[in-house]
Amino acid sequence: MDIIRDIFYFILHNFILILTVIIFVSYVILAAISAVTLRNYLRKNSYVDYNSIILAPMLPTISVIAPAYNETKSIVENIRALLSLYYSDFEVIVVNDGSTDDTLKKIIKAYDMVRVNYAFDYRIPCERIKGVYKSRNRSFSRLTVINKVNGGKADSLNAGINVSRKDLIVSIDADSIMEPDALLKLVKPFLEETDKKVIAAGGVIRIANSCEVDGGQIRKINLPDSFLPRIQVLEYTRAFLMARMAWSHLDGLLLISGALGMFDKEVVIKAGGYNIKTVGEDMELVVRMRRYMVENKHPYIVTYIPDPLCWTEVPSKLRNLHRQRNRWTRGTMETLFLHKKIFFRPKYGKFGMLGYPYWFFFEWLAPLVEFFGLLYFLILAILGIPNWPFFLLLLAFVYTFAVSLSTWAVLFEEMTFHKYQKRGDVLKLIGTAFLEPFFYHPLTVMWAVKANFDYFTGKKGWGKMEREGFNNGRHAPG
Amino acid sequence: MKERRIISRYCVLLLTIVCLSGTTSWCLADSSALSAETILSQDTVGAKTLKSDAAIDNQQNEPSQQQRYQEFISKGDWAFTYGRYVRARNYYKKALSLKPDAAYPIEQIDVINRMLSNQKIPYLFPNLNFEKPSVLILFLLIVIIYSVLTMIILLVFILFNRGRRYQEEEKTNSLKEKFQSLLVDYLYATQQTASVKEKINNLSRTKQSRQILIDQVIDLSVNLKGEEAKKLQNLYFELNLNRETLLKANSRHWHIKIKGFREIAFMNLKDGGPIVLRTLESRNDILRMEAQITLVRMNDEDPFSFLDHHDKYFTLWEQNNIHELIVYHNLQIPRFERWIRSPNKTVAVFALNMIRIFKQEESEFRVFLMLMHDDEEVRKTAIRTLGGIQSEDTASRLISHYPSENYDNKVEILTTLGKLKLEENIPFFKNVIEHEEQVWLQIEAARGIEKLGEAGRNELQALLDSEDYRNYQIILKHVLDKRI
Repeated sequence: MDIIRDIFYFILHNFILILTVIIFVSYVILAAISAVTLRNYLRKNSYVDYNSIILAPMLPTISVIAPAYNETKSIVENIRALLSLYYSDFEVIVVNDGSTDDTLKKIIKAYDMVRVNYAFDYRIPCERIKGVYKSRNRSFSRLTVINKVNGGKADSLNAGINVSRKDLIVSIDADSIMEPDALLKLVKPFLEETDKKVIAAGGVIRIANSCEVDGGQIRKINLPDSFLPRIQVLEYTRAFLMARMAWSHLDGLLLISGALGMFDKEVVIKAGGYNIKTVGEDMELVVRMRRYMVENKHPYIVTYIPDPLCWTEVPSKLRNLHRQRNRWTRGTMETLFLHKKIFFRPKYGKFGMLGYPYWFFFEWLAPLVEFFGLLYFLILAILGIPNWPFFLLLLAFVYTFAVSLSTWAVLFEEMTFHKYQKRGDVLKLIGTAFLEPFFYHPLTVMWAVKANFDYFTGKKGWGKMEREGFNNGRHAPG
Repeated sequence: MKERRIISRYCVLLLTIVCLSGTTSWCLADSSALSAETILSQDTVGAKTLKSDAAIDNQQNEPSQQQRYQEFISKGDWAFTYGRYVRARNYYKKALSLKPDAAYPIEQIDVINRMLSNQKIPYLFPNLNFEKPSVLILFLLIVIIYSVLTMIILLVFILFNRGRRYQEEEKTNSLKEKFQSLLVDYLYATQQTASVKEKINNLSRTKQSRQILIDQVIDLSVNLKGEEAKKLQNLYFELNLNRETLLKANSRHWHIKIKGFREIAFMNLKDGGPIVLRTLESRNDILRMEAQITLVRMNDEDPFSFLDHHDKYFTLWEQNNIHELIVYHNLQIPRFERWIRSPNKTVAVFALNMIRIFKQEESEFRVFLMLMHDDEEVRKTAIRTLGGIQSEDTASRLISHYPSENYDNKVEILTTLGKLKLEENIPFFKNVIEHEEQVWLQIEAARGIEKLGEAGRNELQALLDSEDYRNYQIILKHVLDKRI
């Protein structure tokens, strides 16, 4: 009995300690796997001439679907960028989701659009489509604009899928800028499909704040001037280069960012399309597609490529960032709860045994544990109980580990795509890494807690996001 | 201003919390040990207070003293259990002061003293007591030192690497320019051939410069034919660049091997054939694919013979690469019907696609037979191929096959029939519009009529005006709208 009691005490006393060590070890393992996967990817693709794909005769066709809600500031430029993507057979479907500003008017004017008699099936449910527009100018024949009743991003994507005529769909945020060769790179995993069906592919999202944008394309890449976007550069680098690459390799990828993802249209439709009741529709779709494939016994792959394919404006104001993170957390929770069936179910393979539990414990629960641990510690600290030398040692341990992890992320970026080329950029990023644990991490924890509160008190919706628009950023000279 | 207020509010709140934030977990682990103790006792003062308490207790009666003793022992046990040994020792001492002859507190104090002396790391922290195993403390210290060193080393490495990268880029660009200019001189300025060759040789003494030269030779040879291509190939051999290529092809690293294979293929280096052949059975998919492509390029007699026994998945990526080879290297096009009945369905699909792309009409009958194939993807490609080679019987065969097909293949049949542009198919298209429920099938059928040109458009307009087709107006309008 004493042994059992001792074990119980050990677990009780060391639960969070163990959790922390597991998190740290998992970061190290994921980073190591990512490093190997990245190296292999870069080697494999160092000989690929993507331009040769443009002329290839056996290619899947692609619909790029961009939902737009009050995107008046950047919509015209962004459509132009989408239309100039390199690919032989693709269409661009912009879905105006009942914008209350002049988004639709701007598109109609800029691209000479007229309403057409467009026939389509409501193969997946979506709000009423009020009209479909095509351009009178043949140069814009690839462009289709849908005007529909407001229903949210997921609903807009469903509308786009209903109108799509192509094999694959690409979901993209209308405020994002795609690299011209993004489709060529994203389609490659589908071309390399073997006996396992490739159902989805994601790419790296980069941060466009402070970059020079002209004609809907990134002309010069700059590290964000503001502190908040710069921290997010680190965060995105860690997430995309150090974690998702590894999850893709481990077949445990649960999320393909809503900012850019390519999907097999038929599988999306068979899985039921985007879920309009969640604010985390991107993650929910991937999980549902995976479930569909497993439950119907179809071998499949969800893959991920590390090339920076898409640039997006991230919130530079705390209020907006708070809303975004609140939404992300609620979306994660909705997806996890909606698909709790797969939790530790061997039937779902690594996806159920590894990917889902990781998100459950480390993405959802960890911030909560951290928050309550913090509160508890504060109470004990007020009572003068903790062993302060040990506390300081732990502080140094966690802090130095976190900063060193960020330094590794900077190295990953440096050794792979090397997008921030000014000498000072590295120092700025490292400096940001030093400040992040003090000024940013606690905020993310608090936002996660607030999001949990909002979720359990029934808060729905996206929250209002204000965009600065690329026009407000720097422009390329001339 | 409002934004700043929010930030400062956050900062005030957070600076207090934040210092602790990352350490929460560990702190909790440490402090949770004390929770039970806290509940049991409000007494958190030091030994001095304990002593004075004991003095007061001594003045009280015997049962009360026994109670106090038990209470201190309990508190001491709790503190001991939760790892706060210094505090536990204080409680045992307090208990001992009440009962100086009690054995238990003395034993516990001994145990604690031994434990604390074991936990000490005298060479690092002679005056600090972390109340945790020294192994744990050492582990933390090692991680801290490792993290700090990593940060410093990585930062230096990144900055150094940047400098090196810029230098290398400059050097590479400069060499590229020089080689380009020299190669052009070599090809077109006939009188100075020997001296140009000498210059090239002098410039390409290092491994890196030789690689740049090989890349330039290959880049140039892609766009050259006839005499000039041969001259460039001779230069490649005269400068012994083929040795570099073979070394790469023999490398242990797959990515270097591939580089070698590509050079073998481009320079048609026959010596490399056996090395490439050995890799055909490699378990590395990428390597195997590259080997296949190289052999297609090198095998003049029967370049596609590998398809005879290809039992692996033949990806679209490979198929497109092979097609590119055929087109850009003027390979002799075989009769692809040879592989149409391959047990490997991906090879069959490739063969069907090639028949369509190269319009091998003589294979028509065999393609028809493929409509009976078990695999829907093969049938779909066969339908598309029939549309591509367009024989007389195609329409009637596809129409008779239509009812037995799935949705995707029905769409394919309608698209193919549309391409045939035969007025005799109009009744069939009308039938589809009237009887199929899926919009896309109806659209494709209507589009089949529209593709007939003026006659088709008139037919659709007539249908649009007809009462019988009132339910299909949106379909007909969609097809008649030229902007869609």
